[in-house]
Amino acid sequence: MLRCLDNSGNFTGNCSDMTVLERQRMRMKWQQEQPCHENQSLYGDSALGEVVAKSMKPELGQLHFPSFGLGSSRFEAASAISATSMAGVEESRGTGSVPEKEKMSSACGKHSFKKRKSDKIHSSKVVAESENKEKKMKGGGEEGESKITEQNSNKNTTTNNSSSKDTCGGTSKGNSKASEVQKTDYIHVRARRGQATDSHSLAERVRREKISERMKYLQDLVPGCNKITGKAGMLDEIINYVQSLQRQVEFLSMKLAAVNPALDFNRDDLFSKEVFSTCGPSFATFGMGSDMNNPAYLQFNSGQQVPPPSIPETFLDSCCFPQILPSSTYESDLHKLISVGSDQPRAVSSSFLSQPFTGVVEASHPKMEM
Amino acid sequence: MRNPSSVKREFLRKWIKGLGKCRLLKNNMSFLERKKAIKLSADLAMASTRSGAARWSRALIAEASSPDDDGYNKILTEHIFGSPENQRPKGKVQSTTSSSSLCRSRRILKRSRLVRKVVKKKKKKIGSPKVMANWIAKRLVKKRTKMLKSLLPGGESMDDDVVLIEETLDYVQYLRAQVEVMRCLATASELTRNS
Repeated sequence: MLRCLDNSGNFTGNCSDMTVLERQRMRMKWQQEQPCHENQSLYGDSALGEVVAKSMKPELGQLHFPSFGLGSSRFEAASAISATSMAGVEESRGTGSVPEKEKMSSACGKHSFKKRKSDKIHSSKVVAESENKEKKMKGGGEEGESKITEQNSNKNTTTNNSSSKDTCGGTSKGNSKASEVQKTDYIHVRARRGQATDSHSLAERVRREKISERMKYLQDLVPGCNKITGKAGMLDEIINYVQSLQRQVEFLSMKLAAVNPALDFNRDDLFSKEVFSTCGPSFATFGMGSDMNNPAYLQFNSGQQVPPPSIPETFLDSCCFPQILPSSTYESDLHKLISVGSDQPRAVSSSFLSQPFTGVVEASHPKMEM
Repeated sequence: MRNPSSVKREFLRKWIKGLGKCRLLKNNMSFLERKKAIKLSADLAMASTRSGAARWSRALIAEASSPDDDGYNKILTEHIFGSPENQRPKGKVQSTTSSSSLCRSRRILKRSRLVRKVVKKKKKKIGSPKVMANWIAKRLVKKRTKMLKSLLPGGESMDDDVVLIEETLDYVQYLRAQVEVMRCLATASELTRNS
């Protein structure tokens, strides 16, 4: 058992650069390969067995423990429990034993879960109705779990195994306060110590955690939000910021309309480099992106209406080259956000943040050539 | 990962193209018309850079192409998007307009429910100050969420808080890029005019 834990710890330790999803999947695969009966060999406590039996009874109902409490039959009882629990859970779930097995074996690697508490939240996919089904199952075996925890505080792994058999993981344990999220069809959330474990509050908690995580990203994006905690204040700042940006757009469009009576922004002299060399310092404050040397753009063929597209690119290029202030706060915040986003794959937001941008470029190529 | 500088380049290119088309459409525009054209083409360029992957971009395009005032916006939008119809997420546009009517009916339902809730809460309010403070905090958050929804294009149809915040994130990034590009262009044109 401990061996299994160690191995899982090492395994996950080596894959720190993989995504959280991949790590979890590999862990599951690895653990499923391990014979499940290993878990059963740890039932050395008769009291534990009794409690397990009690908690199992209301849930399954068809178990009989005639020889329970006897030393010799402990193993048989334990194996019976495990076998019937698997079967019973399968029946009631109707979704196959794979998630159940995963949970059983996931108990092995639970110590390593603590480290990745924040990462887990990112990689989850929520299926609301299945979640509720899940949680009802979990709610069933609550009472048994708390007893187990109290009795076997030193045999943590045993506790994990047994209680994970009872329920689907909605347990409160002394050592694991992390909420665990696996990328299967269901969201497995562990209730924290001293918190309610019914389906509604668990779903609520997942939702709340998601919201707070997104708020953190917004905090990085909106300048001056580091000191503010709490939703209302943050929202206030965000609203102010969005309003100010929108007003800026309005103002700038007015300015452009005033400056350029003919709306011809394609003039060559507008984009000529000498203009920018004279006004270098003013561009430095804009903090345009530093990595502009993308040769693909400069190779675009021009359309008839727009002068060589290299000019807009050189316009932007020359904007950034006189980088007296290498990066303004905006740009650095943006970079930070994007690097943050790439490190922690978020299932939903990754769908729109990690857009295949080259696809967009290629799509615009034919447009340019018309 | 999306590159902010490439986003800006993309945006600038599309914007200039759009402006060129506006110019073709009507010469000698008045100041306000010009401003409108600039802003509109900028918005559309921004939205199309996003390629309709985010709800707000779809909503922006839908709003722009819906006939209002003297249909000016609609004409401009159609002109800008023009023949490459594959750019415009047509199906999605329709869905957003239908969803706006849906959310209108939802709003009515909500309001009726809210009135009942407020009455109930006032009765309960005579509870502990903790409960009251909690309730006040929740009201504040709700009010602000409403405001944010009104600010964000297409925000009305997002009931889920998580989605709303994600869309805001996206929108803020794009607004920033837009502001920076516009500012650059404005300064450049000013300088060329002065020199």
